[in-house]
Amino acid sequence: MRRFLKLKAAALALLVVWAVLTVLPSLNAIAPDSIPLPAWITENFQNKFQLGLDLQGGLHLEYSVAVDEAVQKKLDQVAAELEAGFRTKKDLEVTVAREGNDTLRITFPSPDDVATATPDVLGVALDLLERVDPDTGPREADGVITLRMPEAKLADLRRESVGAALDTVRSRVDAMGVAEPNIYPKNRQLVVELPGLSDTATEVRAAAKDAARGLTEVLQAAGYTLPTEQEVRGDPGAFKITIPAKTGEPAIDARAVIRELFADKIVEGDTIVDDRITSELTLLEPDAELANDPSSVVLALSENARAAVLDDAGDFRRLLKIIERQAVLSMHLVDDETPFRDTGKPYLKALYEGGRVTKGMGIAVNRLTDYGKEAGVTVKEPFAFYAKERSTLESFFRSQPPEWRLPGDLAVFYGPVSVNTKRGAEPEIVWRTYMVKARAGVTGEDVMSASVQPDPQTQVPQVSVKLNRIGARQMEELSGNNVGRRMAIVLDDAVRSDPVFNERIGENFVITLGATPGQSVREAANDLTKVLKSGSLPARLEKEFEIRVGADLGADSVVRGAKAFAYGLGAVILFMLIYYRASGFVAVFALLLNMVLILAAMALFKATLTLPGIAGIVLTIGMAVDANVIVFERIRDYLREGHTARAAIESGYDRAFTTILDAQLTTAIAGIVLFQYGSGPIRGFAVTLLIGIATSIFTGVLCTRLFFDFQANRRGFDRVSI
Amino acid sequence: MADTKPHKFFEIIKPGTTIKFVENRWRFISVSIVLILISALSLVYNQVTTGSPLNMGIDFAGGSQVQLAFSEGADVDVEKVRVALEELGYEGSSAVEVPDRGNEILVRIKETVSIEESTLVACKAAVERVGEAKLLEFNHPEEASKIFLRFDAEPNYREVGRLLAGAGCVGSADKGNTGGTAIGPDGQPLAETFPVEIALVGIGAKVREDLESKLGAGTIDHIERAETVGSKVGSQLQTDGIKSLLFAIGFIFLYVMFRFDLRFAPGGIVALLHDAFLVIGAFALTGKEFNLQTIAAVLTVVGYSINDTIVVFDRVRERVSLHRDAPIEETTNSALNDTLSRTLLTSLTTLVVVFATYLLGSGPIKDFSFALIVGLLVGTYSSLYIATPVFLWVNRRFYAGQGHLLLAKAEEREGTGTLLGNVDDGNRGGAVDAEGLEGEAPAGDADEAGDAAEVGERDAAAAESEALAGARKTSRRRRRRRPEGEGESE
Repeated sequence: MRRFLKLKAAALALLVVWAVLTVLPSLNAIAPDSIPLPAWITENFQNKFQLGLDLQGGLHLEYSVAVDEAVQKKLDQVAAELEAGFRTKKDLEVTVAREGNDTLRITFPSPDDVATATPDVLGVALDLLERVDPDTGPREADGVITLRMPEAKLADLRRESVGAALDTVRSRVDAMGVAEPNIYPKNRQLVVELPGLSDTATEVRAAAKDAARGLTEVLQAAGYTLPTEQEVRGDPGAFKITIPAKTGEPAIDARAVIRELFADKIVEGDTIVDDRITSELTLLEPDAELANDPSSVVLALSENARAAVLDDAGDFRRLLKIIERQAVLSMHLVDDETPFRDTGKPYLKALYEGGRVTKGMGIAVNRLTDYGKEAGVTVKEPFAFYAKERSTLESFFRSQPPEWRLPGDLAVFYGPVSVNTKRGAEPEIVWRTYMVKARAGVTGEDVMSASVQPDPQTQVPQVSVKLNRIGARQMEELSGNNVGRRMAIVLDDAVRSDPVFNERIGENFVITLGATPGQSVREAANDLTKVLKSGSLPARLEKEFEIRVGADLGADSVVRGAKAFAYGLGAVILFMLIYYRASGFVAVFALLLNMVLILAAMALFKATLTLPGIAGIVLTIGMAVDANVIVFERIRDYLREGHTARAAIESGYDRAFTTILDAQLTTAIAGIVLFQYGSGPIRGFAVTLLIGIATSIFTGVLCTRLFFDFQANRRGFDRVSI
Repeated sequence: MADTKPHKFFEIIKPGTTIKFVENRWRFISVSIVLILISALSLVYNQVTTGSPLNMGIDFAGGSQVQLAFSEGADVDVEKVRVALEELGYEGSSAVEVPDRGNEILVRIKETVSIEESTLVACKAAVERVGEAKLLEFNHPEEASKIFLRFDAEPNYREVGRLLAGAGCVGSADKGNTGGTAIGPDGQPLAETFPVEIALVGIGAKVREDLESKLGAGTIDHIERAETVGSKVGSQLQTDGIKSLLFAIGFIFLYVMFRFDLRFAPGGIVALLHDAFLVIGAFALTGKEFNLQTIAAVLTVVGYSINDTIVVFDRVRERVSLHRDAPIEETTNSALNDTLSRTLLTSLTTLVVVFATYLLGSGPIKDFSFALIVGLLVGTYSSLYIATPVFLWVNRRFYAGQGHLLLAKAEEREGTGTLLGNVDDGNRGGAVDAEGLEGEAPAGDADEAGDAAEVGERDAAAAESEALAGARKTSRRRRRRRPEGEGESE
């Protein structure tokens, strides 16, 4: 044990240096400029822990939950179940239509069939809805049953959907790790608070300020004196530059000056792309106020620059994207065959041949190749409309007069596809239409698991999805009856792919993803699996507003708390020095090293430090002291019994080690369980506790021993100051 | 050059101190029982008087969130608002700045708005028709600070607000969020309806009035928003928390059972629960607010308690395996005395840190330290007076003369005895090594003299001082070499 001491000491010294260097950037970020750090530290040690909401505040976001959408979805689900129920139990084809938020109408083939609506088929609906016979509209005598949701049920359902959205968001946040946000409901909204994050406006403003500084520097270098910058009200990403004329000279045309200075850096008419300026800037057209003042010009961050600012803002932005994602997955049967009304042609073909699509709409009509399967159906002459923007297609269909609107059982969906518009050019993303059955064949609720797997041919990551039993049965039925037809896989309102059913398929299928700007396919696939696993949101989340909020604990009370902690620690150190004399130094060293190591590990994991986290640290400090006390008391015991110093140290450490290990492992068990099952603040506590246990065993047993072994290696060593 | 002078130490507890922990256990157990009763009574009393066993903070109970805009030039900072709120008796309130809007402060309080059912009915009747617009829906979720209305045509919002105020629902009416465009079954938007949201002023106005009475009239320019918020700790988080606590207890039990002995496990768990319960009881008794930070404190206490108990048990285990023939009460008592100085030192040093934060800290930090102080005190005490007596009781009650439950078969083969030193069972020589599970088969030599352990210890030590060359010998190895497993003698 007393060999390789120098090597061990060197390793320990290296570790100390590494830990201190890892912690420094985080401390610097907490108290900016308190310790000026050389660039090589900040560049090489980028991982930081940060303070939680209670200690430094963060971003407060409010999302409204589209509760009515959730209610509608629930009703659609019931409608599908009713239709299936009548088909299987009564062998009757009924149509169930939803009206508004609270009504379903079951239309029977003939009024006599109303009698078949016994509780065993209606049962699925009667939990939510009441059978009514309304005074207006079709009545039961006409072969229509009306089911309506009572108001209390409606309110319940709405409240439930807020609760479900909350749970989903929380599990997504937990899947992302250690962010420790606050999440709570508020009326029909969700509040999400993320630590340490600025709001969009602040981030954009900061970027604009940087760019403005760069621009004035360039102007000054070109000999213009004292150009001034000024924020523009209403847009945090815009600023006004004024270049004053030199005395006695005519006013300067700022716009012309900038155009000239950046002549070869201006792209697309008025966007400046220059390395000397941190972000892309767009020259804005002068408004009424500026028209009379040629020496001023307004510049704003370009759209690209704004997007880049938010992408750079770190992991939490990505977290936000994941939170906001609805992750509604559904599979719809593609229907390119059903004739539209009395035209005898499918809808899109009818629209095209009916002259509804004209030039100048920005819509291209394509006749696609036939598809199908010998064993099943063959679809001839499918049509699709293409446009550069999804909104072009949406507004086209919305603007159709009633006689050209689709019946309720069909719908037009949209999806992005990449198309080679020009030979040899980069493929371009355009949107196309898909004609599908409005009601989903299989929904994401039946997803059992999802994982990322590479495509066997291209090695591009894709998401493989496994359905549960219900979903698998539905999928089998859907694919079995429709071999040769296509199925549209719809994720968050956009068709991702539309494979042809080659045969009856069961529980497994894959979703292929395209790259989106700012995110690799792998990242997109990883995020999607997390989201699919945590379940879809019951309804869309719409961000209502975001503000930055200060810390829960006043800066004052944090400072006082920190001071108090320092005094307490000082007292402990003093006590250890008095009580254990020279060995006390060793213990104090171990104690301090332990704290640095905990913080270094937290920085490495980019963990968030909150008050509960600090509780974990206090506990581990207690345990670190404890480890030393156990060892030292053992050594004293052996010394009292008359062993030599060397023997006492050896045996003391060995015997104490099992004690410490047992005590720490038992505590670690609690920590692991809390980390596994707890969420939010409990998890934060568990993280610091587990880190602390590992470091305190290391410092308390291994590091301190090194000091004693050094002493013991001295010739004639027979006394130890303990 | 061996220095033969004995080492001198600075000691708090002199070696040889013998406090009769085990003998006096009932006095202390009765103190514990009294404390537990007080805790339980406080919980029940609070439940009866306030409807909640603990003074639940906004984290658990939800509350209201009021965003106040202060007048330009009003000299108000968030610290002043905090102090004012505290003085006004808004317990558990918090105030945070909104840094981008210089003079706005977000206040969170536990109080919520409540509206009588009859008022709601009157309000609904008041807005059945607003001009041309007909009311389609009137929805006030329980305890919410908003009323959600839906009209079939766009109403005059001011008129809606005026009509409602007249009926007793004072608030500002605004265009509501559509809650998602109502999409018909054909995928097309349905005929438009016009949602209106009424943000009830209720609690906001009260907070404003109260704060202005402290900070001066006119300091608050307007109420930006005042809304009810739900609890941060959703039902999910609560079940997760309880589940994790139960799992933790279960796994600790298993660990102690396999690593030590089954009869140690209940003592550790009882001490842990005892400590956690007394901390919660202290919160019930003092009426301090129970929030997420308190949960963290309770978890800390649980961690500390089990850690402390295990160290004590470790020494008991060692002592018992060394002195198998002595009455277990005595060996346990001397083990407690052995570790006493360590127990006190550790508790004292940790207490010093926590006590400093309690004295100098403020607000939530103070409450947090309070929980830790209580927890450390009872945690230290419970290792001595709760965990150990429970261990002794389990040993006597369930194990008298039977050896280790799990190892009963193996013991028979090995011919070992029992942890209960003085139970004479002629057929069973030897003793159970408490560490039997580590695979250290006790020698089980039944013919050895009773005090062999002591002798063995000395011998080993002597051997060691001779062989100082640096060869590593663990104490465990020493014990293995030592003549072990002395027989059962009276």
